[in-house]
Formats: sequence, C-alpha cells, structure tokens
Amino acid sequence: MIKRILFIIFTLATLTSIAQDTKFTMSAPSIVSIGEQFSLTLTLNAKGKDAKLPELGNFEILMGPSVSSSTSIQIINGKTSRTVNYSYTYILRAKKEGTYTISPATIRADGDILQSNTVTIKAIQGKQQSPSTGQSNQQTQQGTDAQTGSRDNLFIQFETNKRSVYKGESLLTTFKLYSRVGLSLVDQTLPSFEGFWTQDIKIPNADQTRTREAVDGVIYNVYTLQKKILIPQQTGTLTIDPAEMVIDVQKRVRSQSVFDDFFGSYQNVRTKIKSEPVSIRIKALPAAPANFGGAVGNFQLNSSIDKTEIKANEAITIKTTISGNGNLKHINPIKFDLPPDFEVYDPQTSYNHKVTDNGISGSTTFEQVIIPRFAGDFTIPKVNFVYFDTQTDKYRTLSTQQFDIHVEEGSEGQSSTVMSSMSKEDVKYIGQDIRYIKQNNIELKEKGTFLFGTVPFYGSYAIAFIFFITIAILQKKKARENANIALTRNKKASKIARKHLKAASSCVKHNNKEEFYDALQRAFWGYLSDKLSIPQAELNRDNARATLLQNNVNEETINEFISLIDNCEMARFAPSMADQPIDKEYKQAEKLIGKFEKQIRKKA
Amino acid sequence: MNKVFLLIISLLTASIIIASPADSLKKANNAYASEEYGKAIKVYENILDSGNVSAPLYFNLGNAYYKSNSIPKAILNYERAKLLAPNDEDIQFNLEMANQYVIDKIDPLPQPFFVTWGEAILNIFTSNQWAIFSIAAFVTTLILALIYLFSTRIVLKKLAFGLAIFTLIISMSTLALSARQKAKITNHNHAIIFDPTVTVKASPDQSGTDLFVIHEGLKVEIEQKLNNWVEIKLEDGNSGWVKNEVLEEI
Repeated sequence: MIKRILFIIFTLATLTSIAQDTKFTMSAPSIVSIGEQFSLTLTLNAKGKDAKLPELGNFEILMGPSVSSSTSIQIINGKTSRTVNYSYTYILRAKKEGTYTISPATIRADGDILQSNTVTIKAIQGKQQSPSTGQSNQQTQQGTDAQTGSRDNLFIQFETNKRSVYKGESLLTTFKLYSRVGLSLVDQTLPSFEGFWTQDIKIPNADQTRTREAVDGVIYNVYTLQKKILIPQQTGTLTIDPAEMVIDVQKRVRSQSVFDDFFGSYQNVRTKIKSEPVSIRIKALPAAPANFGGAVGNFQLNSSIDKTEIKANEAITIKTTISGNGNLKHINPIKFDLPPDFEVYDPQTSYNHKVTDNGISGSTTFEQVIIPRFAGDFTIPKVNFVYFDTQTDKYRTLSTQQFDIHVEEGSEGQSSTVMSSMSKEDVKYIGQDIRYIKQNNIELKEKGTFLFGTVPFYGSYAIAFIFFITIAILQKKKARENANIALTRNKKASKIARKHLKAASSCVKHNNKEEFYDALQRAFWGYLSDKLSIPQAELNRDNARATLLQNNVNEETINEFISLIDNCEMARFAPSMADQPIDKEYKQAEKLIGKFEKQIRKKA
Repeated sequence: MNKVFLLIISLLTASIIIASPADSLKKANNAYASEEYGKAIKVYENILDSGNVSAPLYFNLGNAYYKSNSIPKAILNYERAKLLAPNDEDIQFNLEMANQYVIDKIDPLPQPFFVTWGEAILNIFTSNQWAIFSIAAFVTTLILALIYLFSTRIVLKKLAFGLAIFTLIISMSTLALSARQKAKITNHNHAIIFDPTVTVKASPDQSGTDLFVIHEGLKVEIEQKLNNWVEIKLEDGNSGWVKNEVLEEI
C-alpha cells in the first residue's frame, strides 16, 4: 500500500515537471465552410518568437498573427509558480472544398525550435446564410428563426450508437445541442428512459465539449449535454421520449440610432425546443439454456479459493470474479453446490466498473464465506456461468474450477460446543399431515349387522338359561333320589340290623360262636352304613366314630360300640380269648342298637 | 350334468362377488398410494354402496377426501369410522386434523364427570363386543348359580352367590351399553354441515329469525325433524332449524 502511494506521488511529480515543459499546440475548427472566416490558434506556454505557419495552400490568411499573452502566478504553500501563455491567432478562410491537413507550425523558444501538432480541417460547401458572414440582414433573419425555434439554427437530438439491441445489451446514447447562435440555457426536461437501466458517463461542461459539425452543409456548434449507457430491461420497441429545453437566444435588435448600430444591441428571446423521440428495437434473447442468469456481454470468469486444507469450524472464502464488458451489475451471484453441513453465508458482491462509450466494463466479484463443521474430504463441483455473447449472438458457458477441500478435525473445544448445541436441538416438526390409510386386516361387514337385538343374541341368553334349568332340574332330581335311598335305608336300618341279630340269636342257640360274632359285626356295620349314608367299604372305626359324634351320639355309647366291635373281632380271630357268654353279648348288642336308634333319631 | 355345471358356475360367481370388495379395496388403496384420490374415492364409495362397511374403509375414504380437499366429507367419514371403532387412535388423530379446517370454533358445554366417564367407558368397545360381554357375563352368572345351588360347602355357596349377583349386574349393564352403541350408529342423531355457509333459523321456516351462522364441516346434533327442516343443536348448547339438505347424517 505504501508502495502504491509512493508510486502515485512520483507519477504526480513527474507530471508536474512535464507540465512545466514548454508545449506548443495548434488548434483550429475541424470543419469549416468555404468563405467562412475561422481562427487558427498557436499556443505556447512560454515566451517564444518567430512563430511560423507552414504553407497553407488552400487557406488564405486574412489577418494575423495577433499575439496575446497571459500570465498567471500561483502561490501554493509559499511556493510560487508562474505560468505564461502566448497565443498567436490567425484568421483564415477556406478556398476550396476538401479535407486538408495543416502540417506543424514552428516556433523558437528557449533556444529550441518547437514543432506543433498537425490539424485536420474539412472544408465544405456551406450554405449561403452562414452565421459568420457578418451581414446584418442575415443576422436579423437568423434571430427571427431562432425565435420560432427553427431547426436551422437550433435543435437538440438524441443519438444512439445502435438502433436494435438484445435485451440486456448496452447501448450508448448522446444528447446533443446543435446551435448556430449565442444562447443560454434556462430550463430542461430530460426523459426518464423508461424500460432502461441507465448509467451516466461523466462529461466535462458543455463549453468544453463544443465541437463543430456540419449538418446538411450547415456548420453548427455542437454541445454534448449528456451521455448515457442504456441497458434495456424489457423487449419490444422502446422509445426515448423527447427532451425539452427552454433557451434564451440572443437576438440582434434592429437599431434605432447609428450608435446603437455601431455597438450592436442584443435582446434575449426565450424559445422552447424539443427533440425527436427515438425508438429502439429490443430483441428478445434466443431460447436460453437452463442456468442462464441474464448476463449479456462478453465476460471472463475467474474463481479461486483461499484455502483447501483447513480445520473444521474455520472459514473458507471462495472468490469468483466475472470481468469483461456488459451488464455486470445484473449478474446473479454464482451458486456453488456446497456440502449440506457446511455453514454458508450469503455471498458479498463488489463492483469495479467503468462506464465508457463502449458500455460498462470492469468486474463483479462475489466473495462467499463457508465454514465446514465436520472433518472430511469435500468436493465443490464446477459451476457453469452462462452468458449471451453479443459479438457472436450465441450463449457461452464458462465454468468455475472444481475445489477439493480437506477438512481436519477442529480443536476439541470448538467442535464439542457445536456438537452439544446440535444434540440438544428439539425434533423439528416440519409439517403436519393426516395419518396414512389402513392397508391391512380390513374386515368388511355387511351394513347394519349388529349382534344386539338379533335372534342369535337373545337366543344365546335363552339357550344358556335353558341349559341352566335343565342342569338344575337334573341335579335336583338326582339329589332327591339319593335322599330317598338314604331315607329308606335309614328306615330299614334297624330292621335289617334286627334281622342280622336274629340270625345271630339262632347262632346263640346253636352255640356257634364264630358265626355269631360274624353276624353281629355285619349287623352293626350294615346298620351304621345305612343310618349314616356311608358306603360299607369306606366305613371304619375312625370315621364311624367321627360321623357318630357329628350325629350327636353319646361318647359313652360310641365307646360301647367300639368295644363291642373289638370283642367281635377278637372273638373271630382269637376264639379262645373270648370267653364271654354269647347270650350276654347278644343282649348288649340289642341294647346298643336301641340306643343308636334313639340318639340318631333324636338328632334327625 | 347340466346341474353340476350350473352349480359350478353359481359357485364361481358367488366367489367373485365375495372376492370383489376385497379386490376393489386393494385397488382403491393402490390408487390412493399413487395419489389418484378421485379414483380411490370412487372405488371406496362403490364398496360402501355394495353394502359393506368397516371402520378402516371409512377411514381410508376420509383420507382420500381430505387429500382432495373435501373437508366436510372427510369429517363425515372419519366420524362414521369412529362410530365403528371408537378407540382407534389414527381415526381420532385424522379427525382432529380435519377439524382444524372447520371455521366455527365451538366451546362445548362442560359436562358432568360421570357423563364423560360414561362416554369413555361406552366407547371402549363396540356394540357387538359389549353384546358378547353381556352374554358371557350371563353365562357366568348361571354357572355361579349352579355352584350356589348344588355346592355342599357353605363358603363356596356364599362366594358363588356374591359373584353371581355381580356378574348379573355386569351382564345387564353391558347389555345396556351394547344397546347404546347400536343406537348411536343406527339413530343417526349427529350430522355434518355440508353447505359452506348456513344460517340457522329460530323456526322451521324460511322467514324465521336468523339466529347464527355456521360453516361447513361442523358436527351438530339432530334434535328433531319436521318436513324438510331439522332442528340442530351445537355442542355449546345453541340450537336452531336448518334445511335438511345442508347437512349429512353421520
């Protein structure tokens, strides 16, 4: 940077030193008409002598040289600089039509002989009412013409360098004022250039741009008031609306007295002039390729990346520069196809443009910052940039480079913070929709089929109830039958017992001990079985005792019964031991049956 | 021989008739999957027209209507599906989704807790399931009664008696629930508003006073009918008369 500043300072210094060099220039109007007086000026920024014009041939010198000099002294910061200007003016007149080059003039200054530049003058067959003839009647006529805004003396117009352009192609328009009279501008209304994007070209003030141009053989002073680069934004025929100017024209007033005539008296006449509308045909671009973004002109593409080997969470900048000539301001940023977990920032666009007569040239730069969040090897593929080339009327494609990025694991702290913030993120509900249709296990039923209220429904109740009733009745009946058997057996029990006892008593008569005890035992077990409704096979001493107790039989009676049974068994298996007389035994048995009968019945 | 042929043919046609709703169901589901909702709707409706119903069928039809932006019809079919399968979560979810499109925001009247509980219990099973419950409980009651009657052990008798009383009550109450569930479906006492905007009148008459305005998709209760007028009741308790062509019974 310092280098650059130093460089600028040095170049400026050399410039000023050049400026102090002596310079000798020749100037003359570029176009004159035959018979017109014009001035040719030689300028020298030093004191000189022996100014010599070359052989002029087709021009005759009417007057000159008249020498004038000017001196200016400048004091800047106590430093004094002095400039001297000498000018030699010749009044010439062209004699013949044609284009002539005046060879350099010479002058002697500071002991050197300096040569001027050459000047080319075009002489044309001018019209008779040339303003420079100096004839008073013509002047008057001119004045009236100017008053009416006559095109002959004063007009404005837009000039465009192209009449048919593509949409987006730039064109130059120049707004010029043609005049042959003295004037001063009062007011102007310039068109808005609807449908165009405009960019002004800087021009010096009107006096400095003054040139001479011949229009239909008449020479005008031409002032360039405005230069614009237009870029059409729509297709079709666009019209540049007329510009309007209000101008004070100096008009010579016919004199009332000799003195007036001598000094010449002028009067300002206000007049309004209007330019012609200019229509421009805007062609639509031919069918565009998919990724065409509207760039029209002639471009170069340059892309670069600042780093290809970085750590995660560090920033990379991709720089894309589109340079050339065209609608650089209307280029969309190039979109790279970046890996999804890169953090991408919006590209920054910077312009470096110069507006010239040829359009807009320079460059547009896009700088995009991306931050890889994870380690890995990534590729940013090529991206195409399509533009319409106005020179060949074709689309052209430029491509960026392909970038390969190697990202290493970032420092631990950074990545972990990123990770934690990501892992805590809630599930994002992006959209809501109804649940999907059911696909499986669709059982179709006939409409209006209900179990409730149907015959099978009530029928199942009824059937269940019928079952119930049947079972209940059967069970009841069986129970009753069982009860009957028990009752009869109960009733017959003592009878049977007595029958057995009778059989036993016959044994007593025969003194058959063994049979006696057998019969006695059978009588008792049979009796208890019938009486207590216990099958004889299940009957033994223990449950007989328990059942008898339940039936409220005396403990004493039970013991009596048990001892009787014991006796019986002992007598049967060991007859010798049983020496009790059997008739006594028989009586005891009879008594016991009677007791049982009494006690069990009591309970019942 | 001819008879055998006839029999075979009749059996074949019968099998076709039986098979066709399932086939067309598959066809409709495929149409839905390929986002041809109009076609899916047509086929689903055909199945319904042939007299077959099922909760998933109504649900799928509702989905198809939802996807083709006929919200009232979607709601109607979801409600019908819900009647058949009161506890299906998907149906409930989609019904709520569809109800978000309904313009009218109705605050339901607060109901006593036993009503909501009762409703919740009622909706646990369908009518048929309740009916089966009732029968089962009845059979259990009878078995217990038998045990009571013929058991010789007193503890068993007591237990059987208590349980029998309990199951009998269950049988009775599930019978009532089954009846309610059936009534809900067969009575059609709810309806969905189909007209975009409906002005509810104070009387069954075009000249009746305008009471309020409701919009399509709203579920209303049908109170009574008179000629071609229906008295409806909103969930917030407001009621009024509308023409019967503006609504569709669930």
